[in-house]
Amino acid sequence: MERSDFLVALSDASRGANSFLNAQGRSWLATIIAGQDEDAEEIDIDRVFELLCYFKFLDTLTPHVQNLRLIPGDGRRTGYRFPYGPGNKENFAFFRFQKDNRSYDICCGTALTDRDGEKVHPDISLQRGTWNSTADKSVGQVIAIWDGKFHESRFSKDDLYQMNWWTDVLNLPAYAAADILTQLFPEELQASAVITNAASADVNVKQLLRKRFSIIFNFSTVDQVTLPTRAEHMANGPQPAPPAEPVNIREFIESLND
Amino acid sequence: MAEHYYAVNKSSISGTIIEHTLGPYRAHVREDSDLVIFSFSGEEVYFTGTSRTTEVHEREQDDHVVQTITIEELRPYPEERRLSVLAGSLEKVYRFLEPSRHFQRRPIIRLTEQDYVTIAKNTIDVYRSTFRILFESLPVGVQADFIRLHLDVFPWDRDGRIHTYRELAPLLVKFYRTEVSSPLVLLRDFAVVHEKFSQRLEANTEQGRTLDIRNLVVGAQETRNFIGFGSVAQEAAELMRSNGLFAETLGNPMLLQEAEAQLRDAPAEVNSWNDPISW
Repeated sequence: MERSDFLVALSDASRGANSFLNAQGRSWLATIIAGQDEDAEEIDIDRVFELLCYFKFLDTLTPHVQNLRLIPGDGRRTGYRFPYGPGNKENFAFFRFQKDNRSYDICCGTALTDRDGEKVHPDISLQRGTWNSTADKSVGQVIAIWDGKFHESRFSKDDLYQMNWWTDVLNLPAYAAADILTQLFPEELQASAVITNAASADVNVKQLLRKRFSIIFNFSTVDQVTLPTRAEHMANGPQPAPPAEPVNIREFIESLND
Repeated sequence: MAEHYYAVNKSSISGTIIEHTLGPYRAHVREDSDLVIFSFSGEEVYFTGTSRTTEVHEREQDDHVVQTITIEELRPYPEERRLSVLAGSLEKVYRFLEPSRHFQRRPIIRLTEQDYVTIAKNTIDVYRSTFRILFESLPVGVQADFIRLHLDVFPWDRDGRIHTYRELAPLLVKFYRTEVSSPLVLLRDFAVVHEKFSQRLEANTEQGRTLDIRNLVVGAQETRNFIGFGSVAQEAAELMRSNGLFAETLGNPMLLQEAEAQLRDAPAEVNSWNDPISW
């Protein structure tokens, strides 16, 4: 581009950006861009990414479920609200649907209770339950969880530690042929996972298989890749206990007499 | 070279005579000064040529001093210079997104020698232009964030003024790509996904309840702090579609990418500056 054309174009485009960025009521975008707030009360770019992941999930399951509807939170204001920090399920909106006469909730960042009674807050959770009405917002059985991680640059292995912990403390069911995940999602989303926009990196796939979760790199782009795949999780399914050694009763009794 | 320099609106020249009323914010024109002639076309200012004052007479009229200035015949430039191209290279300009405002109100505007030469030679400082145009477009909070992150590059330890933009301009382009583009790309993607999801939901739900993105709110119950996330996402998507800074469609690379190329190929800086970080 000619230098003069470039400067005219840059000037025009900057005026457009300026009128958007500086408009009243959008000052929060500056907060996102600054991204340095420490009191965790402001939304930041990670939260935006988590919401994007949540709606991508909703979009993929919409054709496969019945009666998908929004369950509003119990707050005073109307409309649908999603949390941008850890929150309790009853306070925030989430989506509920039916599949084969069973009810499921898909929640965004709300609390789950682990097997020790502690609260944990994965970004997305799929729960199965027997809720009788929309007023019932109790936490159901957790089927799978996903955690969004936005990166300006490279993927960090630190992203795995939290999910590693959660898969230990939440009693997630084992993957099984034709389970609910296969009925709702495309193959790349059919396992609990850390989801990131970062490019794929070397990871310890064996450990991920042991912990039964995946990493989705380049999420929502043409380069998206899931490691390990759902098929690899299935192939690595729960191993049968080794057969017990036959016991020679005579030797056993003799050993007691020694 | 003359000792004084002025830009003169062509519409105030009649033949070779300019009638000019002096006032508190008006240039006091001297003889043997060099002039750049400009004219408006819409919002754009074009510098069309040069001239020189030969005589200046003053008289009192209605409690004002009026100058009658005689100038030489206009010497047109081989091609006109555009202010929107030169704005970032002129000391006179500090409203980088609206540079024509510096030339709107008065028929004669004082220039520095450096600005006169810059216009005459059509010399573009890509570093200062790129930095100043982009910096001006950012909200104050984000400008402050850029400064905070690059304190080691800003010359605070000397006089607090910027004398060169050679290092700053590439840093700001990089900051823009990572810190400004990324949230906007995410918001655009969110708006697109939400729209697709809503359409599917509408088609699949018996009640036909739609999820208008404008109603989408995110918040923290504990702090009662809520944000109209959906409306901003939608507007960010519109901005991404319409704005060349962020355009990523095939055959239409974003201007930030072009800025990097321009800075890579830019000649050495001709002028040094004495700018505050913000006016």
